[in-house]
Amino acid sequence: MENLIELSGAFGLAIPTASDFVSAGNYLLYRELVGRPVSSCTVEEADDPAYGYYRRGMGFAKHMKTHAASVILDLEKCVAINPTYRARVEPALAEARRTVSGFKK
Amino acid sequence: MNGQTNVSLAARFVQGIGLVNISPSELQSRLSACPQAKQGPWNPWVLDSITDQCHDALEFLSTLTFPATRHVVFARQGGSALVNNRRDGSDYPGYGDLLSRFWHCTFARIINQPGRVWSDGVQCVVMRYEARMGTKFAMSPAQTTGADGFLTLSANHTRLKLIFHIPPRGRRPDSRWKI
Repeated sequence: MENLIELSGAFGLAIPTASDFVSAGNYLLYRELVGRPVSSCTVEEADDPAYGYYRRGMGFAKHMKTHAASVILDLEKCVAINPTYRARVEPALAEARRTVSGFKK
Repeated sequence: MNGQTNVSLAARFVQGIGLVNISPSELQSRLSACPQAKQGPWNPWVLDSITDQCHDALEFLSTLTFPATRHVVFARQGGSALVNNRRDGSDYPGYGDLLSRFWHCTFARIINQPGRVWSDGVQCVVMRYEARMGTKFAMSPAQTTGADGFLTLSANHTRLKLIFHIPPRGRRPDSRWKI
C-alpha cells in the first residue's frame, strides 16, 4: 500500500483518504443514465459472503434445464453461510433438486 | 450516521477512485458543456444535487449497482476526485479514455484495495483480492481524437513495476505499444 501511495504521489497523484472525503465539505452528486437494467444491493448485502452465492445461484436458476447442478451448489453454499437466505432460495433449490433427480432416472 | 461510520464507509469508496486535474466547479461546467453527455456512446451524467454534508453523499452512494450508476465528485489537492457506487467496489475501468477526452483534462484511475477474506472457521470465502494499481490518461490539448498516451503503474506487497504504454498516433490506446 505504501508503495502505491508513494509512487502515485511521485506522479502528482496524491490519493485522497477517507478523512479527505469526509472533510471535503462540498459534493457533486451525479447519476449516470445506464440504458439497460442494472442489479442493485445494499452495502450490507455486498459485504455478506452468502450474497454472491445467492446472486449467482439465482442467475443459474433462469437456466434450470442445463444448470440445475450449479443452482444446487451455489444456493446450498449460500444457506450454509447465512441461513436467513433459506426461505428465499428454497423454491429454486427444490426445483433444481427435482431437475437433477429427473436426470438420474 | 455518526462520524466514525462516515469515515469507515468513506474508506470503502475511496479504495477505487478517479482523479482529475480540474476543480469540481470546472468539472461541472465542462460536463454540462460536453455534447457527448447527451448522446452516445457515453452514458449521460445528470447532476442530481450538490451537498455540503458528507452523510448525504454516502447515503447517495449506499445503493450499490452493477454497473455503477451514481458518482460523487469532491475537491482534492490539485483537482477533484470521483467515487462511484459500483457493487464490487468503486472503480473507473474504461472511463479514463472517454473522460479525459470529453472533459479535456488528465484522468487517473487508482485502485488501492486490500484483500478481504471471510471465514467462520469452517468455510472460507475470498470476498476481494488485493489490488494496487494506477492508470493515468493524459489528454493533449492539440489532439482531440484520443488520449495521446498513458502509463500504468502496478504494485503490491511483493513487487513493484512500472509499465509505459504509448499508443501509435491516431489510434485508440487499446492498440498500444509496450515498452
